[in-house]
Amino acid sequence: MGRTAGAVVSRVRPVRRALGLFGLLVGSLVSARPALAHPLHSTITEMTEDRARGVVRATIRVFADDFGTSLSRFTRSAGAPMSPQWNTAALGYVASVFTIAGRAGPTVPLRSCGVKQTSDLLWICVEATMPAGLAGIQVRNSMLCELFQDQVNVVQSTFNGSRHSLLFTRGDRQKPLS
Amino acid sequence: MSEFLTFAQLGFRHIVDIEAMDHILFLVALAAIYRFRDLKKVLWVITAFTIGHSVTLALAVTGLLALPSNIIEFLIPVTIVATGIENLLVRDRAHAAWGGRYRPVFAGIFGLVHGAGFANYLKALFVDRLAIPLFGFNVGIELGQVVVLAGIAVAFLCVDQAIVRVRSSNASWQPLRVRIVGISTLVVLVGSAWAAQRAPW
Repeated sequence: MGRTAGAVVSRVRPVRRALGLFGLLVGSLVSARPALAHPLHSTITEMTEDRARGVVRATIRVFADDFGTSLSRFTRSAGAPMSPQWNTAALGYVASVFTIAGRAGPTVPLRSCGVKQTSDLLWICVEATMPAGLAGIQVRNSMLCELFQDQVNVVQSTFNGSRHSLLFTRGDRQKPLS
Repeated sequence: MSEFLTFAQLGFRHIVDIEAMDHILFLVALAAIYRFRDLKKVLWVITAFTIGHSVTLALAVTGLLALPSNIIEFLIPVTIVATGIENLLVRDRAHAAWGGRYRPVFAGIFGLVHGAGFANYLKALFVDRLAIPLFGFNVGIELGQVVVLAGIAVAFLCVDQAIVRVRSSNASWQPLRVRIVGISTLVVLVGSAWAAQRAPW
């Protein structure tokens, strides 16, 4: 009798533990999950060159709401979207997270070549003087990485007849484009 | 790096990320009924799921299909709940409709819904040169799912061993059935809560 009761107790305990774990799993999954589906935290940048002018240009496609959040963290005085004050602040933020450098040289200063918005996407254009064009340049893009752990930034270009792609995640440094 | 590999990485990272819990939970629900030796069946089901979400992804990114995101976000947990309920209701798969072989079709249809979930994001970002990024992204998703499934298989193995340890020698219940009921109940509860949170009304 005693042995049977002992056996029952020894089986009840793990079952209780399993039920406790089950409840914990349900609770944490339900409460940890935000109401929205899994978003894709990514930006896509297309780089082109204008050999005649000796400049390289980057057009960054980024979700406007995410960019707005990052910009407001970067500076408290960004102003109204698309205003001159906002454009200056946006360029400041972009220059802090997106860099272009020559093969071994320092990063070059960026200047704005316009911003436009289509639906919920911003197209931010920046350019830099690079007489040699895209060949041999190095790029870094950590845009929104301070905001999202899973941020992935893609930088693409076509030159010398082939397509080049780079992928940046949090903590990545400069990478050669080709 | 090639364009294909870049987008394959993007797809892979998107699926193995902890934030992709709704996608992962759906995979858990799909895999809950299988044993280790059923690997071929699992791969069929997962491939059907990938084909399903590739179709909606391609249609949405090319602009042939426009889907309201609030409805899709609600339907994703509904597919999780439906899969969990099917797991609970069908006890004898050999005698179920079509000998239980409807599951890949089922996964393919639900894949259509899941593909629509991230189609809206990709539609905004992929504005030109669609073919290679889209193909790469899908291959990355498929590979990511295989990795997630490997993790799920190991977790199920641990659950099965724990069940066998607790089970008394004269118990009439089957360890696999206990796992199916436990996992599917978890899936149904969590999926229902998410559906309630995302209800569009």
